[in-house]
Amino acid sequence: MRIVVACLAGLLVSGCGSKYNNFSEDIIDRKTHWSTPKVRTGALTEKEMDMAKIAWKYFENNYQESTGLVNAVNNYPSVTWWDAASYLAGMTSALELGIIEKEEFDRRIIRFLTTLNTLDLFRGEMPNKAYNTQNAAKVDYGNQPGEIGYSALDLGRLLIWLHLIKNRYPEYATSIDSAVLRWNFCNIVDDNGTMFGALLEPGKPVQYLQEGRLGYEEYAAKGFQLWGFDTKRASMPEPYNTINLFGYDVPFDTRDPRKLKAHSYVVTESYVLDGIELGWDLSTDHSGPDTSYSNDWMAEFALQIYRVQEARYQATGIITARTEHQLAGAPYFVYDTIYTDGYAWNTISENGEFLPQYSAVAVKGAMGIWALWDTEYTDLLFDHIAHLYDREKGFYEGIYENGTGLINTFTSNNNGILLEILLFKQQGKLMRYQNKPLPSLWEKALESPFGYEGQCLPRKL
Amino acid sequence: MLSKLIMACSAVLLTSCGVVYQSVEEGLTSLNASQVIRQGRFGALNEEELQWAQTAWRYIENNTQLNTGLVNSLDNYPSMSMSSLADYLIALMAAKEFELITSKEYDERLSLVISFLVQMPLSQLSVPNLAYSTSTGVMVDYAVQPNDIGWSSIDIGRLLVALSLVKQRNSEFSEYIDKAVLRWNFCELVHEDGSLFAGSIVNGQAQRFQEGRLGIEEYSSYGYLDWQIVPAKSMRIDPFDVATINGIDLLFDGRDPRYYNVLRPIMSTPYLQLGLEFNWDGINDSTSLDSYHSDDVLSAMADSVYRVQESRWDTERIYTARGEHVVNGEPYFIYDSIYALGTPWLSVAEDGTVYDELALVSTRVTFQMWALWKTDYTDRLMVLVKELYDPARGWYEGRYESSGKYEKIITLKTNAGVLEALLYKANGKLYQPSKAKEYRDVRFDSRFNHPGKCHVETFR
Repeated sequence: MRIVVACLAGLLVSGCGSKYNNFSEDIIDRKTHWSTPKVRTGALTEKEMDMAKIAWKYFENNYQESTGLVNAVNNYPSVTWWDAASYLAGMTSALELGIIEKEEFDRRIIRFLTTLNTLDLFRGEMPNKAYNTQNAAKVDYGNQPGEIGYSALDLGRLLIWLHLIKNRYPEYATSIDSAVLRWNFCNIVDDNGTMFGALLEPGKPVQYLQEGRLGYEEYAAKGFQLWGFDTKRASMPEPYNTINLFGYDVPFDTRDPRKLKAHSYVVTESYVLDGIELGWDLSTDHSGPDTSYSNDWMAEFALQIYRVQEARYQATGIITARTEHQLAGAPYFVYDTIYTDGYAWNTISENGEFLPQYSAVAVKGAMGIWALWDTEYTDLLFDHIAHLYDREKGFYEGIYENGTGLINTFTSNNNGILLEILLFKQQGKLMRYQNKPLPSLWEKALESPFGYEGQCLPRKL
Repeated sequence: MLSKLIMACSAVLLTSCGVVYQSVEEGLTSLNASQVIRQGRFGALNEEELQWAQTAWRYIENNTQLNTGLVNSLDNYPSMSMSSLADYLIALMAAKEFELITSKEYDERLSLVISFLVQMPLSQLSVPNLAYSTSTGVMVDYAVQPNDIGWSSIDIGRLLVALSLVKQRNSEFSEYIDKAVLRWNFCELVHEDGSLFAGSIVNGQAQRFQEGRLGIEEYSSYGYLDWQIVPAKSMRIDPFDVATINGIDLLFDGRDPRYYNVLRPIMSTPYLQLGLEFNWDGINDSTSLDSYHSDDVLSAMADSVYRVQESRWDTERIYTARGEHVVNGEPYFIYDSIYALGTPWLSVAEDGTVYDELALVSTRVTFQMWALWKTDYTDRLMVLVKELYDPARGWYEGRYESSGKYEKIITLKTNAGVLEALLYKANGKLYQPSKAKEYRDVRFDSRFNHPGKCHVETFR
């Protein structure tokens, strides 16, 4: 009997067939138990209010009265719709924080919506990727007249802000709806719920290419969802995989950049914006600021993105808040990532060039983490970037990781996002909904089979 | 009493594992072959397996150069590296074991190789050259023109492992093997910081560089450890990064190729060789059961390397048995990786160019995984490759993942790899050191006749 027991015990240990060994925790650390830090809430301190006013300075300096648009980069009269949305965010926050009067807000938003209702669309479909801020002409990336296509991600973010303003200030709903009703959505979202951008290269027909990678894709898709579009495929986190960095499994998009030409970058910005603006909630979740996040995987991925950056600081001593950011000189823009193209902590230009010297703590990234996770590490981040401003120009883009100083450039995106982050501290989730839906030009258009034919509106019939 | 207990246990274990218990004798045989005490497959070769060995040995018969006793690394191509010489030695031991050759032929073949090693020309810094002509025994470059081009501590590490296996089986050759190895300048092979170093000779000048990445570094180090030389830095697991594929964690080298200009693909081969030869044990572990692996990390990594390939079959229904291999035409040599350049299942050339269409189900890797992991999946793989041979020439390199087509290149590495897998099946763990005093031990202990060359000094 004892023998049988001993043998059975042996069997339990050894089992049948192949047994596989796994790595011990010393080799692969996988942190599974942690507490979720709280978000920062409360009225702005004097210091924070001062920061908000300095950030608004950018939009005073770069406002173009002729179009109501704001330069994306200091003194450079060109803008994309991502940057324009950041201006709307900055303007809304300035009003809510009492930096500007409603009178100023009205003046600015009316000019902006006038332009949006009159500008030339790319091939009559959607707004072009870039416009000249002085005359609202379609331009290429060199700010020369011409059309180059459109970006579903940029327009998705714009749709989020138009929706947000329309809900907060219903007096502008009609003008906003009119502008959006000018657009033709046939090529930007397909029947599977995939988003496409348009690319026009010299001498070639327009190419419609799937646009968006994990993080940005789902964030931008929510913009389309808010307006009634089905973005099923775009809104799924798949295809993704994770990479274990400092004990955290960081999600990344697995669509192969070698084959598809588009990089998949893991950065802070998309997760922060989703948290600040939409509270990591689904677009159908009209709850106010709370700690239940109905887009649960987004909230979880965001937390991993925050934790891994803190863990990098703990492990290496490098203060880390990574996101895409502008540069003062060529190549003017880098994806300063947690992970991209097969490398952790990779910093690349749009064409994939490895530029580790431009790794930086970007103000918008650091502030986003600061607002969403109230910890000692984010206090440190705040101290690291809270003074990176020129009182006359706004906030600098960021500060280089390698000690070579400030990124000497000022942008609409950085200053606008900084303002909305500060507003988030005061108000929580920025998206607000009317208790009772108001009559709306857009909603009426969706309910009728007549009018706007051929624009592929998401009709409710 | 103990044997009774084992037998009683075997009855319990075997019946509960679904093996029909027939007689005491069969029961013991089955127990000896079971996963409770063995890793993978164990037991005398059956007729079919002997035929597989015979086929592999045909390659060596065809490619042995009569005037030197050396074996071509590619069919009919008269060149070899130290690593291919190691392959030949292992094939030779297997041929002896399976009685494919007579004891006399074995002795003659082995003597030719060892006497070559004792007399072969060395690169200018007294280390074996990267390549030798198998027809003349002179140092050559990759175009088989006489030349002194440099050395590889990785290739030499593999040869040291093979030579240790020969000594363990034929201690009578120890003396001559030691005399050959004692000619080499180990100061050039293992840097004083403890890393394996290779060299290129450019315009008569040696340019030295650290060699190897996670996996191959660990494997090669075992060869040096056998000589009491500890490449401590190369043996470190860190720095490493982690890739997770289908939920299975894999380690890969943490040295960034953008700074070091060396690729770091995850490859099967070093982990398979570590299993066949060392059972993923520490070098000093000569007693534990084959079912137990005293090197936790290498054992876990090997299991991951196997499981992730099996999981690719499970999830994607793509047969996967990947290793580095030769192709007929540009770029001639391909690393079929598990993970490279941040991407799973990439096939890359030495320069980093991607050749996914050239990925093979490797004959060698199939045989070795089949030997090391007794699973349904390795049975399936074997069905897929077991006809991939030319009875007159040996085993083909493999079958293309993309089309099922044969890659009909025939190499020493693949044919020796088949024999090594079968030898493992017959023997279990190949490395079985003895503590007997050898010629080298006398030299290491000699104050006046010490070989120098960075060898251990045991008289101190």
